[in-house]
Amino acid sequence: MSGLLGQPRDTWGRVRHSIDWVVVLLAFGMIALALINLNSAGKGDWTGRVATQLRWVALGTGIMFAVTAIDYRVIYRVAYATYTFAVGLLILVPLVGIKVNGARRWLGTIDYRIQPSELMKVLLVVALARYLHDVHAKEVRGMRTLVIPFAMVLVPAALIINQPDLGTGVMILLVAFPVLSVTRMHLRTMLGAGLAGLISFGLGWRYLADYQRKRIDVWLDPELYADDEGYQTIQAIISVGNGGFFGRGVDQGTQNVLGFLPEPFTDFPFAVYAEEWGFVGGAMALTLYLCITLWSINIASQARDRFGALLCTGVAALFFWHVVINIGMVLQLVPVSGITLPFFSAGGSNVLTMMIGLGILMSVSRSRQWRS
Amino acid sequence: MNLLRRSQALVMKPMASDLRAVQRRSWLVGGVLMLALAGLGLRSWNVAVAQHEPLAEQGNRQQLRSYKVKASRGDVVDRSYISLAVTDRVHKIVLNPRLITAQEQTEAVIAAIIELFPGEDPEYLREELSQDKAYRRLRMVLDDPQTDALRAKKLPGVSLEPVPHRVYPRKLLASHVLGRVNAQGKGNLGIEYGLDEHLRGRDAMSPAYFARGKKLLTEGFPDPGVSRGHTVVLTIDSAIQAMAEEEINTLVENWTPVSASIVVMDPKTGEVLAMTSRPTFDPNHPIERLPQTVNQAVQADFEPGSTMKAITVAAALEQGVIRKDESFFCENGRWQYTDEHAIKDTKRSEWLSVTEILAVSSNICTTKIYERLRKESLHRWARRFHFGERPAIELPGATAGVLHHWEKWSDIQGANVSFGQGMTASPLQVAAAFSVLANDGVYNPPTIVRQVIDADGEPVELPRPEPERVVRIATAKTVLEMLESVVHTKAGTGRNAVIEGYRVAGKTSTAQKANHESGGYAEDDYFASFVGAVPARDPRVVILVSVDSPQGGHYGNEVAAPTFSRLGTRVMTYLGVEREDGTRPALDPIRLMADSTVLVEGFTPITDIEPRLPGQRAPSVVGGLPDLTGLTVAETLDVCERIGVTARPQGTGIAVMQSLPPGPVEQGAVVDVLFEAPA
Repeated sequence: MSGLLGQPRDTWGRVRHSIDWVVVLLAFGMIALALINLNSAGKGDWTGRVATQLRWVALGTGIMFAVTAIDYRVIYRVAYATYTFAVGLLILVPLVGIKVNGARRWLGTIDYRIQPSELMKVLLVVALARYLHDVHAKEVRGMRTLVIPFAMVLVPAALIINQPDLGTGVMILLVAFPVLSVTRMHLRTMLGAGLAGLISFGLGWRYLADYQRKRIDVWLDPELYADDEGYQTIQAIISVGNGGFFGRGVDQGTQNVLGFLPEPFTDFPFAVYAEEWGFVGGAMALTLYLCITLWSINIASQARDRFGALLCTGVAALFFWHVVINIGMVLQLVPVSGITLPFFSAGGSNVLTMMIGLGILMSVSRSRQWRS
Repeated sequence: MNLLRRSQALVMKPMASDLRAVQRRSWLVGGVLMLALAGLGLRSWNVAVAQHEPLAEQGNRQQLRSYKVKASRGDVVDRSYISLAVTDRVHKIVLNPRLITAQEQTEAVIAAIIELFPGEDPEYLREELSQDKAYRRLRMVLDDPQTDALRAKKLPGVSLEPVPHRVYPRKLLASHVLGRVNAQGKGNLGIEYGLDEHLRGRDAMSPAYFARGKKLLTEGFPDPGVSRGHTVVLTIDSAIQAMAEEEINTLVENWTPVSASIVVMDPKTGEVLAMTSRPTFDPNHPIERLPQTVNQAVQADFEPGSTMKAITVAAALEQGVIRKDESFFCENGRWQYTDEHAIKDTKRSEWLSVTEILAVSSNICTTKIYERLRKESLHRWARRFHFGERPAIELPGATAGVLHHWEKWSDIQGANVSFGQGMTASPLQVAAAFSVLANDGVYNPPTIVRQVIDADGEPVELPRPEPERVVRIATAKTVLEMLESVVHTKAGTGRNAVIEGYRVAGKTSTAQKANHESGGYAEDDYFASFVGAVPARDPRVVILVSVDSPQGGHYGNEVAAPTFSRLGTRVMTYLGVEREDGTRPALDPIRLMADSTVLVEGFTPITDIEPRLPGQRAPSVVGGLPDLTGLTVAETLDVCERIGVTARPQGTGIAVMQSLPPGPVEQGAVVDVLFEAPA
């Protein structure tokens, strides 16, 4: 059958042929920048965070290729099972989860812990894609048909917001939105859903914790809180501005070196990056993210079926929202939340989630060549 | 594989129309996403490029701070540039108790410090560690090996901080003159206080990158222009000072007085060559008791007693109210001067010449001379000898003494002033007044600072009062000649002050001390002193030895004169002054090394302390006898000893001439080296 599909006969040839090298190139371009930047953020500490991150990247690369190797129809089979499993984990978190920095978001031990909410993002995309694929005959066009997919989104989102982790919970909603909107949903249904979201957010305002409300106040006027809550927002903006057009050079960012920049590893790596690489570097990173997003859409548009198209749209959404929220937070466009920047933020969950997403992308990409 | 096969068996029929719709939609979504990312890029441009200037400025404002660069304190050196007070950099331990919380950690830190300072109290350390502070500087001063040892231990929360530390390498030597600095490095005693403005230098502010109050980067900023404190060159000659210290120690041992002081002055310039006071202190250590720090020579006032008689005689001669060959009737030891007051002499006499009056120190006949002057004139003359006036010395706290205006004097008080009672003066004032007689009638304001040199080696102008003529040359010479009789006649009261080979002109004083409780004078409490100029014909030095409340004796001749004699002998030898018979004392370098100048026991010159001054250079011993010019006495003796040559120093200061040319030299050769005070 290989000959029929125009694929090389030898193993390596087949492997090479089934890998989407655009994805690999973009991924490792981002990872390279991210590791250099992590080294800067750690003020040249290769042995600590950078080495740890390298280990995660190695593991993530393995998983990415493993997922690539899986026929995405297998993913289709297990979609609901993995989704249910992840929801189960989310339910376990408040019962047996461990606390880090005052928030109970993890399972496992302090040293080896996973964040089920991170896993949830990608597994929700998979489950949602399957559901929307399955019901395509009936079409999801109006409010009534949206009850089940909305429930699939809202249950994990509610569980995550309850942890409390408002950022990731909102992220779940945001990732689901483009996936749903690729279907032939009525425009008025989309607008209605969006309106409902806004209204529920307005109603939910009074249920927000004080610190969450404060974050929004701070976002609106950080100078008012310059010494405490607004501190990181202002320092991040100063860092980006300090970078200017060409940046101050790698390891030369004074804001970071002098320790003015808070959370340079997780929340604000882009501020470190923008100070050292300037607008030029920032545009370069944004272009890489844009490329991976558009390439995902491209794969989606060529997918053999709806499931594949929806998966790719979901992965694109995953990258897009992380980038928009994290960089938007640095640039003071959105309130501060713990949303990570793909690859740039230190931490395993972030790397593994994104790598699984890229693996799915490549798996779908591989199937484009199949012609029946 | 089973799973895979089953999956492939699934019908995933592509529906053409549906897929097209999905494709359209996904490109629509893609377009929206692209626009959003482009928006991020735009915002990025807006912040990074458009707002670059104000934001970078805001960043600099928080990153760049000025910090103070402390100037290093200037040195104090003696007239031969021997260092007397220098600033060294030592380390102190800084603890961060917030980082040292665990019990075993605390114990490890305490153990490590106690190991270096076995005498330190562990409770003190425990107390410091229990504070909820991030910065505790400990009191101990670490030398280099201790610093290295502690650094090697790498204890968390323990760091070392370099701090400037004032060192007085010669310990007790001239401690009252030098004074000391307080914990903040500001002079609070002696010359350290008096010339603090010059010594402390100028601090400067320098920019540096700061992170939350912690200085991080200073490279790349221009030199802040800190100027080092000025070097103060004292008039003190360390060798003479060391001799004076030794002699006063002997004196204190013999007579256990309440206090004592010695002043050695050059009458020709008013320069103080040595000044010492007891009780004393080591400026390297904290002061234990306040009286230790009182410089008896300038801060304490006493009744000058009989010394004043020389001034009264000089005044009367100058004013022409007496002739030098006149004689006065001394009333056989008791004279009822007023109805209530009788004036008494210790020795009964009938008729005495002026010279004899001074020699036997007759109160009655001095009063008779005073009778010719009367109150107003005596007061005027006392003021012209600068009694009742703060001397111009650069030391802090100098007393002016008490000399009431003549209109307030009772009759008996006028008489008392003529022989040094009913008025007070510091030993320095007495020495300065006596120097007028030893300096052909010219008063030199006493000074202890020879020169102040700035960081570039340029001398700094100091205000200095002009010398004044007080009496004619002839009057001064006449009185000085008369005063020789005090030491050199059989009846003289100061015969113990004799210096072998020289004529001494001096005056004893034995003043009963005022009893503050009952009024009047205390029976058994005396202030004994001897002031003298030597050699009498052309005095090189004036030496004043004063002793407050000696035990087991009270006469000036008994208590103070022997010290004058011993010190005078050593100073004459050290200065190489010509004797009456025309010979000069041989300066034996070995003996010098062994017992006197360079020096006295416990007084080892340190020659390697920076900065070297203009005209000085480091000694070199390569290739035979070096060119010695520019070296100090101590350095010369040291260099010559190392190459096996005997040096015979003449004079003080820095070497200007040597009897053997530089170059190859025989072992055991003798080289005469002439020293002169630097200009």
